[in-house]
Amino acid sequence: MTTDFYTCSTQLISSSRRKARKTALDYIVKYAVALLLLCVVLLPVAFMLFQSVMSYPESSGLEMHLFPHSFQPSNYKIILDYLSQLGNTLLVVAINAFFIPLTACITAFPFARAKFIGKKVAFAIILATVMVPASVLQIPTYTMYATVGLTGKLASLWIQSFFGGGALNIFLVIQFMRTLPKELDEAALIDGASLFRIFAVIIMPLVFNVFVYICINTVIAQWMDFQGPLMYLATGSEKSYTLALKFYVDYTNSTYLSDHYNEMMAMVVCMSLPPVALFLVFQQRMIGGIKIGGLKD
Amino acid sequence: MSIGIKHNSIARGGGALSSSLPCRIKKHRYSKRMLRTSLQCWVFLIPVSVGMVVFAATPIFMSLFFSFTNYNGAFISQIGLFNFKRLFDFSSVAGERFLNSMRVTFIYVIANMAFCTVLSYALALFLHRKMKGIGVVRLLFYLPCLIPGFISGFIYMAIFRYSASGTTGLINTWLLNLGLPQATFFSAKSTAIPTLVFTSVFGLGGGMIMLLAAFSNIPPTLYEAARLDGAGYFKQLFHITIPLSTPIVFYNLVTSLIAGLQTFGTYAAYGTGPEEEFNFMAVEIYRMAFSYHNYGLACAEAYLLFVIVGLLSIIMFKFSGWVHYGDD
Repeated sequence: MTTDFYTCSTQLISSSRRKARKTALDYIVKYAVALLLLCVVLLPVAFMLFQSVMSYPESSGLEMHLFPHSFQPSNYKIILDYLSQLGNTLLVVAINAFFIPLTACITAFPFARAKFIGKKVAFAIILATVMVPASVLQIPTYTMYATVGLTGKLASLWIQSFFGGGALNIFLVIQFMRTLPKELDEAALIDGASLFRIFAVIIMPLVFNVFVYICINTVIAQWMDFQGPLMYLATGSEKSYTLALKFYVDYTNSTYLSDHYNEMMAMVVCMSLPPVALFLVFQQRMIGGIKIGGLKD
Repeated sequence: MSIGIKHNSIARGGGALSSSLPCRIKKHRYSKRMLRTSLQCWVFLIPVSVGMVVFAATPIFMSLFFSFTNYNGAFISQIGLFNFKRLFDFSSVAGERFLNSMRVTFIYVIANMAFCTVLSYALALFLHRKMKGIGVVRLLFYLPCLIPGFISGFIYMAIFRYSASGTTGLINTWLLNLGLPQATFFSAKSTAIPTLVFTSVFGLGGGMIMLLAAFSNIPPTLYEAARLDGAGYFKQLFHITIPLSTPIVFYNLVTSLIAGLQTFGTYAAYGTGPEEEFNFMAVEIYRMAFSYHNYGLACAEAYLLFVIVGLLSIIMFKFSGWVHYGDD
């Protein structure tokens, strides 16, 4: 009996030890694989960071290498050449980032919280616009802007933000507004509040999370938008270019600049920073936004 | 509003009843309250209505009209089907270019969708576990996605640069140091699209994050029940994880199809690529309009793209039987 118990317990101990060793090995393998994959995926990030501090002979030498032997942070002075374009970009981004979520919320409200005549048709029309490729719209839009004199002006990049905010954003806000309890507006209705009052006082504060989510997504998308500025601004003066457009014009047209990898990468780092910083600050919200259907807080 | 809703539902119930009766009761008219609510609702919809008319409907019809003309930005002198005739006559210059742009777009979109779907799924499965520091690892995988797409092209261009004599890129330097021959990457027609598809490796984090969100929504009780019944890792994977994450896979496929058919960002760093290999449809349309000032032909091409996007979306939704939607 006692020997039985003894062998049994030693078996148990050894098996648990084996298990521990196995899981430890498991862990090492998993971390090693993760590390290896990260090395591959982060290669462009490392490349741009290291190139941005290299001296000119090193970065444009015959043999490119990853790790810098020189340290020259003065490459970042190149941003000074882009200050007026930076201002333009910030203006465009700010207007879009505020009005796109706002008009998306305004549009979503009646679809999510009320019944009205023509609701189904209006919703179908809005959703159908998702299917229309930008290429179909851009040429007539360009000619329309040209006739009212908007081409070459920054207004061409923000004028549309006042009119709806895009079907996908509207859809997202509708989904979110639907999850709010119906009793909220019913109680307010009984107290005699109008729909406008309900929207402004009750619903808007509650959809703040999704407002911020769309706002940040808009900033990330607009910050380095390339197609819009290329079409509407490229014919105008360089003073009204956005950052992305001037970068494109500089680094594809002149051989001197496109040879200076160190300064180019310093600029690339500068242009990547805002989206990265925004994402890191609002990380929880951004990931929460992905599963917005189940968001309850 | 609450009364309006009640009223309407009663009316609808009455309607259903009346249709079953032989004598038809006159159709219900909207109540005063419903009309007032509707009016208020449409006030909310003023901005989007203006936007839809000015920035969607008008351009769509203008574009359709332009596609039957030889509009060049200043005047129209001809109306007819000639643009479409030129595009479908693949021996003409315009037709050949259009055919080529369709070919490269489809090769790129299909290869990229397959590549990204499989790899981001594998990556998400690998990172869907409890490990110390897994949050940081996931974040690092997502980090390259935050580099704006338009400038990431410039980075890849430098990394994958090929030059027979002169500065070669990072990868080619490594290859040379290992005693291997250089690869042509973006500089030759045959390797350009494979290289472009490969650079999607750096953007896998986007799909991964959505899949991880989908995985975390799967109720853990399912796995517990499966484990009690003796199901191993692969049984659980094929019978729980994969079926329950098909909606998000489908969503990713549809959005990447629509976005892929409109690829334009490559134009910044790579231009049209070696021998027009990166002359994707959106790029072709842009050049036709703004470099050659043939707005009519460009609009015709855009409309064909529109039709293709529409047809493919319908086909994808028709064949979406494999997508598993929950009971709720």
